[in-house]
Amino acid sequence: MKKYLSAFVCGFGAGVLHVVPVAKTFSCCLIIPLAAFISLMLDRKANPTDELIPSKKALMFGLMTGLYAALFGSGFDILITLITKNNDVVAAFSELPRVLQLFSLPENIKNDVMKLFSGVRDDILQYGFSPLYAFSILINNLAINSVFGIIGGIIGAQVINSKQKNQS
Amino acid sequence: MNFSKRTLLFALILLWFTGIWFECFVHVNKKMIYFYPFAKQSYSLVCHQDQKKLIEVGGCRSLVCARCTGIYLSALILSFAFLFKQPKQNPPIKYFLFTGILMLVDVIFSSLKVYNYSKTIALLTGILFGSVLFIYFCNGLNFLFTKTTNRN
Repeated sequence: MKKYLSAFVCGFGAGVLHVVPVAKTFSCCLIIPLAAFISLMLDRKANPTDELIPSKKALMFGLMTGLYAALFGSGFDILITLITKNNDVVAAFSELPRVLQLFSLPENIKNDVMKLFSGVRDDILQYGFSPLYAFSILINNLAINSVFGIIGGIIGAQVINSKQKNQS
Repeated sequence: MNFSKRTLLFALILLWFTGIWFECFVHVNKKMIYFYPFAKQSYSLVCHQDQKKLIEVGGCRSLVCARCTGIYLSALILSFAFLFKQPKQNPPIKYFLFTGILMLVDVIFSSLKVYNYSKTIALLTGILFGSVLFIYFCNGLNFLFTKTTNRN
């Protein structure tokens, strides 16, 4: 845990930013890679050295940042949904018939999709929790944040190493 | 990185990039609509998906904004190019800073309404920044696999 303290801090930050809509608009797909990059920089500050960052270490820091971000992001999302009994799915539900109209789908498929979503929406409105929503959020976050964290870690190490080489 | 690893990287990026155009699959096969919400949610983790900033091609909208599409498009093109010739070294850090600042300036200016948001500019700044990032990423992967292979 102590070894990946900076990943924990940055993962927490990225998890928080994931549920802040305005922040998401600005940073877009760069939140997690940037968090992994910053976690490497923080680790460098905490343990000063002139050595280049090994790729394996960068990969692990990226992965851990992504995993922490996924856990915190999912946790905050589920918690906020539980408290407010409202989220993106509920907000987007009124738009669903219009979206389905765009695809000119057969009636039975339209009904199936509406049924699936109204089930999730009703659960959220009534209990503030939908198992299907929570499961999909967690799996999506874990898979995508881990990959983007690794990408951010590897790129971050390359940038920091390039800077280090230039200085020396 | 050997050819098979580079091919795998290209295939994964191609898969991710193809997923951006999930709406087109729904038009081709109506049953794909069941997976559409999950695909949309997956891409929403890496993009704000603002309706006005999505790219529309032949009646199908992308699942990510123009800028993100630019970043992924550059990764796709470069991963294909790197199948034939690998980058030998990282681009100078000033390129990373220049393209990053260029993108940031466009984000800030278009958000503050200094000028109207342009999908073309967003796409171009995404391509430029994505290209530099991808070269760094490839060199990082190359370094990682070379070290691992040498150790074995």
